[in-house]
Amino acid sequence: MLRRLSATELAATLPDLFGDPTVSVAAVFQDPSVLGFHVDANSLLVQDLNADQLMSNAEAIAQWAVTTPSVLSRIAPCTTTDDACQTKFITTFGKRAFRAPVSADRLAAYKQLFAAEASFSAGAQAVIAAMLQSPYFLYKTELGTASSGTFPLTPYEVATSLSYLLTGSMPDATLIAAADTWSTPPTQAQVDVQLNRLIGGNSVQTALMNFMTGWLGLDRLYSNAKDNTVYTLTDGQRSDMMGETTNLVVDTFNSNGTVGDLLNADHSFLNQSLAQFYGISSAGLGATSFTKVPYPLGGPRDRGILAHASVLNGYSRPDISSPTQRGHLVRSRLLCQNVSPPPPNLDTKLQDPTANTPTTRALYEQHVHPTDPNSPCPACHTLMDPIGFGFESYDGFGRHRSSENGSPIDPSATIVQAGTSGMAIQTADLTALGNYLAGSDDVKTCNARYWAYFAYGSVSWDQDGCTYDSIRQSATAGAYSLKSVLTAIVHAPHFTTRVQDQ
Amino acid sequence: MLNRRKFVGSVGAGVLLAPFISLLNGDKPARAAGKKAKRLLLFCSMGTNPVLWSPTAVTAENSFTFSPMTQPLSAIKANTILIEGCPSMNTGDGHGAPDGLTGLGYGQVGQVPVISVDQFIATGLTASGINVPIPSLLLGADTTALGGKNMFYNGKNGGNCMSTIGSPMSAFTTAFGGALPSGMTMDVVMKRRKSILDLVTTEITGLQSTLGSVEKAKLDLHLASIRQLENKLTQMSSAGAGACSKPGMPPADSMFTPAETQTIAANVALQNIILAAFACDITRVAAIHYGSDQKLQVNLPAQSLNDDQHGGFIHSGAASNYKNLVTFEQYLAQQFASLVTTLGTMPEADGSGMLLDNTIVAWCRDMGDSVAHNQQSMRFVLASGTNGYLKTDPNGRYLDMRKMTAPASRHERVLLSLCDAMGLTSFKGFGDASLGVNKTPLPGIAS
Repeated sequence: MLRRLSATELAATLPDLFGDPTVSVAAVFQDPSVLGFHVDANSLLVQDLNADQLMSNAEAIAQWAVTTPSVLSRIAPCTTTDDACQTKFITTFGKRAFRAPVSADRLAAYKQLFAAEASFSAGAQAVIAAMLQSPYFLYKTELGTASSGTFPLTPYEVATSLSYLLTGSMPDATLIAAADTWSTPPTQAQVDVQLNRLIGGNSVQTALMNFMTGWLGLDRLYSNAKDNTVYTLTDGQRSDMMGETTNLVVDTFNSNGTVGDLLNADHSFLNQSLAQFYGISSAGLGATSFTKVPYPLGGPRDRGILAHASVLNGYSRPDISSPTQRGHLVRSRLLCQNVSPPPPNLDTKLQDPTANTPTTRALYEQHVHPTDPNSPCPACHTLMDPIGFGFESYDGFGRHRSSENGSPIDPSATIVQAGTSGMAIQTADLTALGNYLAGSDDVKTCNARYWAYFAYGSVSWDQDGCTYDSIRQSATAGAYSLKSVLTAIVHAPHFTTRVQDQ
Repeated sequence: MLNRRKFVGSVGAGVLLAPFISLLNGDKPARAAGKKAKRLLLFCSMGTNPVLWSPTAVTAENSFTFSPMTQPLSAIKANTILIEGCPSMNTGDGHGAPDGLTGLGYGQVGQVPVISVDQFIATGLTASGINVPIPSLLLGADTTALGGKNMFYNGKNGGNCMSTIGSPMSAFTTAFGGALPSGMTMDVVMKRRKSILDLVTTEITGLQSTLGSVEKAKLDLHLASIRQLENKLTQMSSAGAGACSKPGMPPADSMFTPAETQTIAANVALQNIILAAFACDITRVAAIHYGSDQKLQVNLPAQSLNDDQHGGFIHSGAASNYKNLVTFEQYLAQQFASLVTTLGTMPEADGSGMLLDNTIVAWCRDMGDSVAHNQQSMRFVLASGTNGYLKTDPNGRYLDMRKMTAPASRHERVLLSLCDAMGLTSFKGFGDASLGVNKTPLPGIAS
């Protein structure tokens, strides 16, 4: 399989490749979103005017690299035009760009390109520009070598997959050096040394949040429109809200916590302004830094990540909350159950609030219990809105409320067809909803399925049962901690071996 | 007037003019006779709320009142035809991105090659010998928002829509080239580019030899993209010493971030690049696409709009949201009118009038009734010069195709009108193969 670097991966790779965060990365790709992620191997293509854009970007970067002394000294071990220096530059920079050693035939091709230029600077510029347009840079290859009917992946292919999964960027020098010594395919013990190193490093936070952002749609915090006439949500508040969620996720991960620990966390991470927004005492909190704050039962906020303003803002209408969106989040992203889109020819508008429907919950009850007995709405909305009612203690901006338009809030929720038993689950409030989900096996396996898709870039939930069985078994042994899920994905045979169409 | 070879590294007017001069002479056998357009501009947006769009007080096709939603179009009424009532092939489709420009729909994606009219025309022009640097310039920010699709398909990528350029700077560089590296001549740059692309092509073909059919197909798209680039570079290197007005460089990408909230601003900048690309004959087929079929984040402080067109204006239902939809559609209509008006002020390089005289502009939508999610009545706004392809009227024209019955009223026929406007005479390979006697342009469109 070939997997083109996503726009996010390309933007992370170039600064690492040149060791300089100021490298200019043009907006070449608008990656389609599949299942909330931008990683789908069949959708990430180089097509249409992309080659044109890639050429322009590569030329600009190459010129910048050879004219910026600090960069050139970092990527070029020598700066002469003799054969030895050409070879050294191409093999050194090429190994980093291609994430694998430069083969003899490719070395010859790039030397020919270099030799056509009049100076080291011009030669290096041509080589860099070419490498940044090369398929060996743009695509992560997972081809392997044929062996008794299977295709074990090469050490460098495994190292590349491992690096992008755990850091979101290209392999670092330590990982490439390790791959130099690995067998084909590398053994689990060999991989585990690097897996454990990277999983304990700082870069894993980026990759971890890349996954969590896609899984929970956290980027909706920024993309979801908000009605400023109701409340003005500032950029700073959005940043604080994402900071809270990031801190909880990273802390849970580092402390070997589970997805359940995210959903029923008895604490959160606040700074002064977010605490004030939440109506919680900000005494002792930093102005910008986040401090772990306990959330006692019956406190001013419900427990767990679902009560984070980052989530609540992302799943709301511009002016009010949205039980449909919030219920859909739980149904599709936490329980892995599909909900069909609205059928054609359906009038989707709700009646405006009236004296009889002063609350958002009452408004959305029209979906679930419509006055028209022939309404098609309940067929799908029963799967969503009654779950979303459990979030109703929070308005469209994530502010806690006990009443709305003078009527008390009812945050009780119902999850129909909650699991394999098909039983309906009743919960009293968002904390209770989080508690139920935290203990659900469906949520654990659903999380693993999305993470595996994020890692592998292909949807094979139905077809690739063996891979998911392997992940489930391995993650179960690790009590489904976030680290154990990630480790299970790496330990699955699919990570190091291919069996079919290459 | 700046020497574009020096400043933007693109083709000169001498070369630019050659293809369409021959086109005007009508000496290309694949192109139809009559008043035709040289270029096509598609203005693409979501479906709308029909009752708010339709003209009122209609007593004749040239006697009607623009709805508040379409009122800005009255400024260009002498150039326009409003059309509604055309059902698609798939009236019951949900989200309709593939329907809008293909004549087919979701049901056909993956079953047969689905080709949008822009690609069909661009391919047809190339086949008839019109070779411009960029066969089709598809622009639009965030056109895959919220997992959605845009309306452009080339039938080659397994049901995926094509990619648009969303960055004004990237679009500018693609259309007009970047600055030459200091101390380097264009000849040296071109020679290096050719060597690099040869090397990359060799790498890709070598890699393909190790792949199965699915992965090989991905690289076929990559190779096609490179061939398109090589064609552009070839024209650049053979260009004469022509001159062309180079547009000003657009603002940096940082001015359009976060992309989710700057989509409209980016698209306005992209529209200017299309106009300049037309003036320089860099492309004959261009499109601007507003959002995806799932989402368009509208951030227009001057209009007090800050919402998602799809989830907010269209589907939130309250009267205030429909009011916002009207306001935003007015904004789009202003943009459309502005494009048409500006084309009417830009002279052709060969002195043959204004660009609008030789351009067909079409506002197309992915869906008919976006509130109800159906394609029973697709809507178009077409525009050209008053002496151009369209049959125009000083009062404007409104064609209500609900007076006809399908398939005679099928919206594909409007798309075929666009093909006809661009001189294509064969529609084989486009749209619904079973359209039979109705596989012809919609009557009453052409002058």
